[in-house]
Amino acid sequence: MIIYDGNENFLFTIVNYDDSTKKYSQSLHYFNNEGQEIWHIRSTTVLLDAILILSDEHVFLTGFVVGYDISTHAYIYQLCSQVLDWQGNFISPECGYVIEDSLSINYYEAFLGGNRDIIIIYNKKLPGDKINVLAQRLTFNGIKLWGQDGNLVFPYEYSQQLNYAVYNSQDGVIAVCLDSRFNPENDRWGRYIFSAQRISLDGQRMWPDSGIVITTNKTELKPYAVPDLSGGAVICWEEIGADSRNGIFAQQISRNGNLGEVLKLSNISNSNIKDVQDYCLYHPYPNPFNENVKIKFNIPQTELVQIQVFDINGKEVKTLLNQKLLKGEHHTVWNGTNTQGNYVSSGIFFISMRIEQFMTVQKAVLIK
Amino acid sequence: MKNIITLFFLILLSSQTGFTQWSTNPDENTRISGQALLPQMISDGAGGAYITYYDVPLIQRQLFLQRIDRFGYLKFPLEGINVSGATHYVSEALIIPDNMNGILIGYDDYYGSEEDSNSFSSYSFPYLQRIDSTGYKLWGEMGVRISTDTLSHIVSMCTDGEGGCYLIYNKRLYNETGLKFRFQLQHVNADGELKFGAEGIKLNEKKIVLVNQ
Repeated sequence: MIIYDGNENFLFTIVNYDDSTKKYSQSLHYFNNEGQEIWHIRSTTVLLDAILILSDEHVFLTGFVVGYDISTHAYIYQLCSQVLDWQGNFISPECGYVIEDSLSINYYEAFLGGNRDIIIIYNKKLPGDKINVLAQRLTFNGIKLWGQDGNLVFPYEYSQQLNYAVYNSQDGVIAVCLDSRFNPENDRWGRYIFSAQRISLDGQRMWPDSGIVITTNKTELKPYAVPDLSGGAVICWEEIGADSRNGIFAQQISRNGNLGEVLKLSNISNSNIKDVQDYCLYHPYPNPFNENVKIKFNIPQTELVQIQVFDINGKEVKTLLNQKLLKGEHHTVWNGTNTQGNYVSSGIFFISMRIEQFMTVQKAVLIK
Repeated sequence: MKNIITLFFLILLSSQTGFTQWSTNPDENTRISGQALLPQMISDGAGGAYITYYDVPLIQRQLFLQRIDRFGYLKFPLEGINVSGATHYVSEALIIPDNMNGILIGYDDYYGSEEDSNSFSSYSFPYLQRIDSTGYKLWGEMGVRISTDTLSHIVSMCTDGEGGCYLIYNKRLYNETGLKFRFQLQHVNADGELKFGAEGIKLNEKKIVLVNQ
């Protein structure tokens, strides 16, 4: 998977195999827009179907760790999440935090919950072939906010299977699921339909327990969903029924759970790229740097901003910026000189952003 | 009477944007395309969606694009836009928003022989096309070829925040130890230029097993 960090750089993860040691490993790489690697980190834990999620402070890497149980001849799937800081250091154990440990988890989706946590929705197979859809919110330090086993998305007698989910930062997650209410025996060739459920950011089900039926027509192929920018979703899928309803179809559902109800557009973010709704001093790049380092920051309102560089002893090296700026995204550059205009020696420096009631610091390493 | 008729039409016209095409009945949904296959969907950035799908209008399977707005109205011609602009066999579509309300579409195009470019070939090349919100192809009729090596294939891509994208594609290499994949990194900017050179940046010396989408 490859993902843009909203700051001219990108990250990607790959699974490697070493012929000499016969071992697999996973590596996460951070590159700038000129194709130069900023850092990479390697882990012996391999996460399959990995999803990268970025917050201002952390990099979350979620995926399946697959094992094999010799006694039952069954694969064991652990849904795990590794958490790193923006310098490429593990905050979680290298093997990640275990979100769910089950013989059968076959699908999941993950989203940024807040600046310090993620929301994960996943299928868990139960005895008797019933599948439950569960939701969990995991903090950067491994705390499960929605109980040890997560919240049940459909507390409902028939089997549901998560097929897609869509998120917005105001209204939470809409999960689109294959629903077996017309096929209680889960007959492979039986009639499955799609239903949906909305989970709020605090883990509450917002629609009836059995969800809202999106289509009553037979379908079984993967649907897709996108946010309608009003807290609802547009969903599309393929039908391969025996009747004349072959083809591709779409349906809209509002945040209230009503089909075909188009509400007023809301001013919300629907991507992992950060809104300017909060203060943020991004990690400087390149880092380490040789000549210039770019310092990017956000302010949610017009105010006086002071950006300063300090050495490792806390002594001020230079004030880069001290002026009133408009709300939005800004950047400044430090060229490695002090207040007198002289180049400073190699070392670790601290870049601080100070606003009336807020202060944050990032580290930059100068190498000559 | 004339004023009443005028008023009626004015009310009708002004309320058009409020009408939705969506059904409120789960028995009846909006048809995007008949007999089409394997849809994928991303946001159009305005509450609607871009949907790609395969169809077989002639002999070869081709890739089409449709856009549906937030009110449920199809924005492109009913038959969709032929993404590759050719009649070659097309597969492995990969789609992301271009962050400018348009769409970036990666796909494998299977050329036929020199004599008959419409015939099926087992050799493919990866292409990337950018289409804006009006359905205009920004990178020519066929888009940009990402690699000159046959059987190369785009495995993952993401926006660069400015209309282009970063992508990873694989090259299938055969040597004495069998099939080996080499993965390359490429940056295609908003104008469709390959910024990491014609061949991109080589990511691995050793065997890479997997790059997730």
